Amino acid sequence: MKPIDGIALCRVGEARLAFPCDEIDAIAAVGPDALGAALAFGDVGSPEGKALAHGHRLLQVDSVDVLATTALAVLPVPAVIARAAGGALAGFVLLAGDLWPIVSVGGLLDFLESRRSGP
Amino acid sequence: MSSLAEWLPGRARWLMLPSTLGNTLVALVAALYASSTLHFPPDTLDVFWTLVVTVASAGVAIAEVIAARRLRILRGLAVGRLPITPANRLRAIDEARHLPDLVARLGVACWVGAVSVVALLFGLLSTAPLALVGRIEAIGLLFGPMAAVVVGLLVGHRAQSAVEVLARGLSPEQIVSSLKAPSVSVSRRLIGFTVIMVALPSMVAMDVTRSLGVDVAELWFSQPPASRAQWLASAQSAMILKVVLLVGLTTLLAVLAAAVGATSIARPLQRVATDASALARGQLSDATLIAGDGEVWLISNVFSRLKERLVALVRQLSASNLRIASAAATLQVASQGSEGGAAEQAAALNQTSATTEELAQSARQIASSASAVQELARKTLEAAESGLGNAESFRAAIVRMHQDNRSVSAAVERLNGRVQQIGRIVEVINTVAERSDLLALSAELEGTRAGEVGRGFSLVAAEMRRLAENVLESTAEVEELIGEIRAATRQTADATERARALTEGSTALADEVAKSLTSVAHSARQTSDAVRTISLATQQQQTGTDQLAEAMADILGITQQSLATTRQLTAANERLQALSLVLAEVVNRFQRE
Repeated sequence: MKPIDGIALCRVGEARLAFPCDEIDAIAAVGPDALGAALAFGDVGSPEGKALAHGHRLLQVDSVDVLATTALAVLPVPAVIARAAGGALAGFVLLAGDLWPIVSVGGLLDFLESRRSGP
Repeated sequence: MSSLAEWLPGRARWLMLPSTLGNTLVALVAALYASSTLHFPPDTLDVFWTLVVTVASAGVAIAEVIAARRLRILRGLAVGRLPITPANRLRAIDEARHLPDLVARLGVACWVGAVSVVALLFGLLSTAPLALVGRIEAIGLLFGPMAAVVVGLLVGHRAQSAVEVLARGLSPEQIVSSLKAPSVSVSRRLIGFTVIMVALPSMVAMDVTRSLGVDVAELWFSQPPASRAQWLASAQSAMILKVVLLVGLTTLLAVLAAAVGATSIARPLQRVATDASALARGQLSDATLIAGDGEVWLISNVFSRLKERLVALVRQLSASNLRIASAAATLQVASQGSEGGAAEQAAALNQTSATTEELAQSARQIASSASAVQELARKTLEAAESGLGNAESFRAAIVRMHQDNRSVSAAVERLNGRVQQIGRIVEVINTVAERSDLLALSAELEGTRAGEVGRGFSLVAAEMRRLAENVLESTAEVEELIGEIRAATRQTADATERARALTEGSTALADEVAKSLTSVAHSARQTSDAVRTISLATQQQQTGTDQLAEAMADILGITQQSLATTRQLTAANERLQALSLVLAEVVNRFQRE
């Protein structure tokens, strides 16, 4: 797994999510069209937070921190688990003893849209 | 009184009748004396006797008129011209008393006057010698006093009866006090009576004897010698007969006068003796006047007055004895009741005295308590007045607090407005900070995506983002503070509102408290005055109670003395009843007729 440069460390409820900075177009305020990342955990989530713009779609998280460190080592994840996770899980980074999952913004948004429009 | 009215008619003449009879008797004796001893010239005897009868009749008429005038009251009562009153009866008694002396003096005057007139006229109208005229005058001087004594005694005897009849029903004391005491004493009367009645017959006998002796001697020489002895014997017999007749008549008059005079003296004394004997026997009759002359009058009147007073005294004594007996019996019952009552009173007074002493002790305690209450009332009044001042201060403070509360409420309103303005400003700052945070994040993201080139930019963006986050944290704190301020302001407003309501209520309450304290102060002042009055009254009561206790002790002592006195009174009543019985026996000895 090649190292990654710059990630956005986000918190959704008690969960930690890390998004690659190159997949985020901008960081904006939460709007009505934003999809809450908390939905991925079966939670409604907080109405407040920030929105990560990916194309014309917005992903709502509770908080965002940008880590500008380059060449972060990404721990690989088995393909079975990546697929079981919806295909958005790209690996893990270890930061200050905490293991952060690196999630694709587009893949999470797809997952969330599928869950919103699911059966 | 009707008997007196029946007795009165004709009493004046009845009284004067002895005067006429006595003077007539004496005149007859005097005429016999004159015819035996006087030698009238021839043809003069008729003139003499005519003069005697005429002058004597005139003298009797004059004496009757004078005596009638001196009995004016008695005659007035007799004919009904004057009412039969005690005063008129007293005046009639006085007339009757003085009538004998009047008649005697009048008799002397009439005799002497009449004989003098006869002698004078006889001397003028005849050729009688002067000696004969003088002897005629001597007859008047000789028989006048005798006639006066005789008629005085006779009239006096009847006058005594008249006086006693007129005095019936009148008080001897009243009669004696209204009449003058007799001026002529019995001894003087007896001396005069003796002189006149003893000397007169002697003088008559001597003069008749002398005159007849001279006549016999003169005639003896004119008789022939042979018959002288026989003539002398017959002449002596005739002379002795004349002498005996004249002396006898004169002596008879003297004896008659003496008998009447003795009766006049003895009868009152006998009545006094009879009444005194009746008194000695215990027979007590009403006192009546016993008439008399001189000392007899005095004695009889003294006795009558004594008897009258004795009768009155016995009557009073009898009535008083009845009253004494009744009063003693009543007093005995009352004394026994009083003794019992006094004993009960003494016992009650003992209890009352003890109660009074307890009352005095209670009064002293009450006085002490009243003093304490007075001090307490004074302190209450001071506290009430002080409380009233504090209430006024409290009310002023409440008013100021109310005004301050209004000011605080207005300030809180203004503060709330400012806090709202600050909140709006903080919201603006917060919005700006959030946008700055987003912008910083975006800038940091861009810098990161730019790689090494954008590292510095990312650092600046990160720093700006921290500043924005600090601003947000500060604004959050500010909002929190604003919220707290708002809550505090709201609480303050609520508290201020409650304080305003409370101050308004407190103002009314302060007014009520001030009114109540004013009322309390007024009541406390009145209470203080009342307690002061009560204290004064209690002190006076204490003094009065002490005096009452002392008085009760004195009364108790007096009651005990009264009890002893009552017992002595009971014993004295018993003795008085016994004495009343003895007195009743003594009074009953005088059996009143």
